[in-house]
Amino acid sequence: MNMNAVFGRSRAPLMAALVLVFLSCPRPGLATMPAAPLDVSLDFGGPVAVDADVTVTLRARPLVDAPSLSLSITLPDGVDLVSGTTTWDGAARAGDIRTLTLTIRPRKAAPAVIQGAAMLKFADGTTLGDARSLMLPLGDPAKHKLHLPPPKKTKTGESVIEYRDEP
Amino acid sequence: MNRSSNIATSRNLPCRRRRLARAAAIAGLAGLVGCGSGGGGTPIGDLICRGQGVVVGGKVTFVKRLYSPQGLTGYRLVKPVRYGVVEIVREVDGRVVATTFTDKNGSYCTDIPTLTSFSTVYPRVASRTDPQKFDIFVIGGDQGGLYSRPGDPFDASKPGIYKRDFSLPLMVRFSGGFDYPFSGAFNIMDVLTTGAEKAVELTGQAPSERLHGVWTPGSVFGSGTVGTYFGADEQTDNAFIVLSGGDAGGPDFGDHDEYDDDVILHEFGHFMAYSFSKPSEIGGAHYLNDNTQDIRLAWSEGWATFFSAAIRNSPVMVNTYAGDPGSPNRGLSYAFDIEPPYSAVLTGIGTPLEDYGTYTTSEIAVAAVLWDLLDGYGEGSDVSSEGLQRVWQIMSRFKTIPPPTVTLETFATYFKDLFGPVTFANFATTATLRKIEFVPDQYESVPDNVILPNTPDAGVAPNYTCHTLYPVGDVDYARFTVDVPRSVTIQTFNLTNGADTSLQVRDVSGAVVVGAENDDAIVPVLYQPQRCNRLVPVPESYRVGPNAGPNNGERFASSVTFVAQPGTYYAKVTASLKGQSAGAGTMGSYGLQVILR
Repeated sequence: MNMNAVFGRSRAPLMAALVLVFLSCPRPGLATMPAAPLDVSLDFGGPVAVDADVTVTLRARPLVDAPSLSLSITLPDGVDLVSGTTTWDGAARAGDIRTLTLTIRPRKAAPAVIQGAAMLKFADGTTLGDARSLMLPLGDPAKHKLHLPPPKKTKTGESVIEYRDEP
Repeated sequence: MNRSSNIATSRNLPCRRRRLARAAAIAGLAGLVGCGSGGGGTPIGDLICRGQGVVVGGKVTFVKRLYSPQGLTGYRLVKPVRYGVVEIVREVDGRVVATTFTDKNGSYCTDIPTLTSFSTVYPRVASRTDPQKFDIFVIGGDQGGLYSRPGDPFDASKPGIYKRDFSLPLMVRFSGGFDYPFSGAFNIMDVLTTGAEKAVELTGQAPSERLHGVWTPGSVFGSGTVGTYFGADEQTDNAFIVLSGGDAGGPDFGDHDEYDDDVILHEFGHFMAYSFSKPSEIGGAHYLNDNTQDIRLAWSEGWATFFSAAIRNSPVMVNTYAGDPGSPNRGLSYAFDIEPPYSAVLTGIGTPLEDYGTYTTSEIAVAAVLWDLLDGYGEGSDVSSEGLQRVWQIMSRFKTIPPPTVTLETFATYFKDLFGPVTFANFATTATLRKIEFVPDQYESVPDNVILPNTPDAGVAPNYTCHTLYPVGDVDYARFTVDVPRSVTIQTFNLTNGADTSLQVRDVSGAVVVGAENDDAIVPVLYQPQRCNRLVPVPESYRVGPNAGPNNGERFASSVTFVAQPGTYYAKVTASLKGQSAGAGTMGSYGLQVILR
């Protein structure tokens, strides 16, 4: 995992706190699992609104020579494709950036998820890649956030969230 | 208290007696008795929960998802929640009236005070272990709370035995039919517990630090934990393992690691090093086929991968992606082997781990060498069989003996000190499988560390010679002759194993030729195919650009060009005289070449 991605996409306050804890700590680093040699990002080109056009860009940068690189963006129901194509196939040299850009138009005032995937394919059938998802923040903002039950306290004072099935 | 009971009934005992009862319990003479947590206790085995008054007990299980090198398989396993906290909570105000812990079989049983008012209570199991055994918390959500599941309520004003089993579900269903991953939190706790048990086995004690597993599913809201990594704060003695929650597409989208035991234990390996050894690890992005890594990073990641493999007794590491068969992008799951290094995917992209899992600057090579110490005689030329306890014996010395920043070189040095030159020679032989050269080069026997009449010749282009800087402080002299006045270039090239050279040209009197010394060449000395210890080229993205590794074989090479008068000269090569560059080692391997212009 690219550390820029870790910092850039981390949203939860808890995570921010942990990152700050780390940054205030002079010695150990963040030790991660090894990542596939491929950087992938998926971004909007502007504000998202119902019936308004917005660009979506999928970027992939292989760190190895990629004779067969495939990019794809999957649009959910309720999102129209205005221009562009949802797939791209070709080759890329190590370090080259390949992009796939679409213009889309959301039609529903409801959250929806766009997914972008980048895959390296090889003759022996192996694949290597990564995917990213973006939620379209449309409709009631209150529905964009997971509403967990309010935390309670354990006997020893830790926060505890009771996960119950709801009707 | 019924002696055959597994119920704790110590609340009414004086504290001293409670302590005695605790000692008795530890000695196996009675059921466990808690001293400070409201009468909690831990049953032993699957005994039936019995006792007087208000008693509640049952069994707690969670759902484990199974995986193969191809990803999650779709198979599930129901496992006990080991050593998890169970609290009895009064419904009206959330006050905890009793606390206990499950045993190794997931069973719990406790008595609670008979309540005369507001007597409705419910049991609640949460993602925290018994601190008497291990101090492990698994937290998530924006609030950083423990994961918990409430059980059915009962009336604590009425004595009786209330059976409350917990079958923790894979998903919790929220309003609108939205499924939210849940059981994974308890898999994380279980796997970390397995790691802690290994720590006890190796060291005789549990880690002293509190370990937080941090995991929030990405789900459709995109607020999950991003990335998987270990970190710690020495000031507060808190350590955390953050596990990726996947992405915003849904419960099984993206890379979510709550069931990736191999990955969780890799991070536990970092925690183990931190907790017992504090070798001051460095972090950062790293890639499996990169053998140009910072030598310290290669060590810490290689150690973590090795330790995960050692706990599981398997050299195969799997990182699943997406969900069960049929789910989008499941094919992005990947696996690799460290005995011998192999990854189908990396072979597919032209960087097979057999060739690129090499040198002290490769995490794969480090993991493979450590595994070779563990596994008995495996690959051809693997003549090491030391076992995990011996590996740990070395690792644990890092705590008190400098240097604080550890590499495989450090490990090798301590290995030799602890176990002697013969055993070390076996280790060094095994390490050559991964092109790691903890051995003197062929010229040392002359010897080549002083100027002598028979000092070995340097290779004059197109020829070359191959050397090692071993042991620490090694000096290599090589002789060359110039017949007519001309420009001469002497260079080290194809550096491997963390080499960071310094080069001087000396004349027959031993004096340094004016201007003829260099540490790091201004223009990197380019790779020469198929020469010395670097037989395959460094992938371009690791050689140059933002992802270039410090040990790309060119960056720390040395080069001297001077106008030579006819005569005999000596190239003197040592480790960097200005001190090792960040990411380099203190030893290493290199090629040497003289170019007559």
